[in-house]
Amino acid sequence: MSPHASDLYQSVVLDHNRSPRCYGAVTGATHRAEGFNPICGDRIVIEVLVTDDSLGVVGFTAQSCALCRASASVMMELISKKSISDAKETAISFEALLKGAHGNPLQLKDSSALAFCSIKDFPARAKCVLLPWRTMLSCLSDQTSVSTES
Amino acid sequence: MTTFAPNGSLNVEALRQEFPVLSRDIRGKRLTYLDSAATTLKPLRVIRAVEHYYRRGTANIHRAVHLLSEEATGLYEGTRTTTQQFLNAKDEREIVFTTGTTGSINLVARSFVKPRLKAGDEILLTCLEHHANIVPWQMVCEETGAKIVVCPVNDDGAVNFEAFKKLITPRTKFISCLWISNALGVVAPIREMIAAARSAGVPMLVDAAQAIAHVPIDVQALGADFLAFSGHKLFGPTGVGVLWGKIEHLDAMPPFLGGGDMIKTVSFEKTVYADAPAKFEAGTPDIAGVIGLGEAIRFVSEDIGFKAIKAHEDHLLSKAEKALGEVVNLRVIGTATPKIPIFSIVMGNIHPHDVGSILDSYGVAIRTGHHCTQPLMARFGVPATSRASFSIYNNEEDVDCLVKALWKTQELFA
Ligand SMILES: Cc1ncc(COP(=O)(O)O)c(C=O)c1O
Repeated sequence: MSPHASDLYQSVVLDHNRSPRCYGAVTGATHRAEGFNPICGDRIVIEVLVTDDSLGVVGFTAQSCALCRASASVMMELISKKSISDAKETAISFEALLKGAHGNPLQLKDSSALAFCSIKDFPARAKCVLLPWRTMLSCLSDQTSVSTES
Repeated sequence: MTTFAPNGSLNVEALRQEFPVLSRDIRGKRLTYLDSAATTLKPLRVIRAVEHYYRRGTANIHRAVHLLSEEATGLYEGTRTTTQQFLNAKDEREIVFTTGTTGSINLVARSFVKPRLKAGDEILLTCLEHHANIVPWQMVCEETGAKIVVCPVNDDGAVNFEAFKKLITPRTKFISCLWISNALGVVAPIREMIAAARSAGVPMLVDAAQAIAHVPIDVQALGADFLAFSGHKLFGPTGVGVLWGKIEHLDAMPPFLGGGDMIKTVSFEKTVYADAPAKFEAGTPDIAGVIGLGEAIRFVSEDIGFKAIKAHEDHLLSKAEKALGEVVNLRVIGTATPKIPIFSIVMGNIHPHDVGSILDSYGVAIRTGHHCTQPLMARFGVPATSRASFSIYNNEEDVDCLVKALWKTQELFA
């Protein structure tokens, strides 16, 4: 079977796209970063309120494709309430997962993030899925903007 | 009567056999190639000509007396004659080979327009322009203090010709406009625009990147000063294109790039430049590309013909318009007439990249994004569209496959 878009647009992904979790601005956010893909114009803003070294409140807004939006929503579920270092590790595991690393890294076990595995067959879209995660990493590293093309 | 239109109407199924890419299967599906506005597929005739040059005829041109070099020079210069006849140019010296439309426009911007500009002067473009017909002008404006003036388009994508006429003023030093929009398929009233430019005495360039494969062009009848196109949008190779310019302009223009082949004599004290067009063709050109372009032009004029192209494309246009009109939640930007079968589609709030990926999995190749026309996208308030563009080798099944895949997309996101 050759890869088909239905592998990419699984029901979990479509659901997160339709009703994204943690969508909206975060009042009193301590960290904020904007991610941009100049090639397709996708734009995402991630805001976090860090308390006691953990991600107390997280939120995002996006003008983007469904994959980017769903990926951001899934990420929100995964990183909310985690410590900064756990959240960063989750992002690293997620990138490894997309690259086809064997086994499910512990951080992502049984999570909706696994729905994005088939992105390896659609390399043109990998940037869409990664943009929220890269933006989150730069947000937590106190950088305020990130581009897929730098 | 041509090879693929023996009785005037195009035999598409026979023609499709000439395009080997069409027999490739894409993710297990038949290929529905609807991205010809980005680049057209290449027929066997062109592929064979390019292959012949590399396999049996490799040599540099204009430089040696050996047989291979003479042959290659003959084929290269033969394309100049073919192009001159194709455009009905007065003189074959008016045909300059470049790297493409972008190369041609930059040459005119640097060599013809920039020396005439001073602060406060204006260059008139339209809102439809491709970035290739915006950025080179911005660069010369930045260096001279001149500025760009943009003719607006109406809500249906048509050039607002009344506004165009008013925007030509004594400050206007050059006008550069496309003939057919790559993003919308809308045809500009180019003859009227050229007439307006001429009566104001302002020189004008026509960006024929899209027009070249869809309408017959007679540069003498058109009366513009320059016309640019790319080989790869005319079933020819990438990396090669043409600048046609009135010979009196080309003769008066300084060269753009210096190097071999563009000189008469060189000493360290002084170099005497060659005459046009050699003056603008410095260095070893894309010889195989130019040879392939000549073959592509012969393919279009001998094997097909613009009458058959127009009839076939008009048929695809009305069939696709009707079928797209039935898809719910779908809007086409750019419905002005006349137009060619290019459809810039917006599907509710489904992002074009999602549309593109889903269509791809059905073997349907379209282009998604801003189509190098960000100002035009901004004019219509969208960051991007999904563009389906048809050409001579597309058939009714292509329309059906497109529409079926769009319906599937709609269902998935419903
Ligand atoms: C209207 C128009 N102008 C200019 C260009 C640039 O052509 P090229 O990239 O071949 O130089 C294109 C190509 O997409 C085009 O459609």
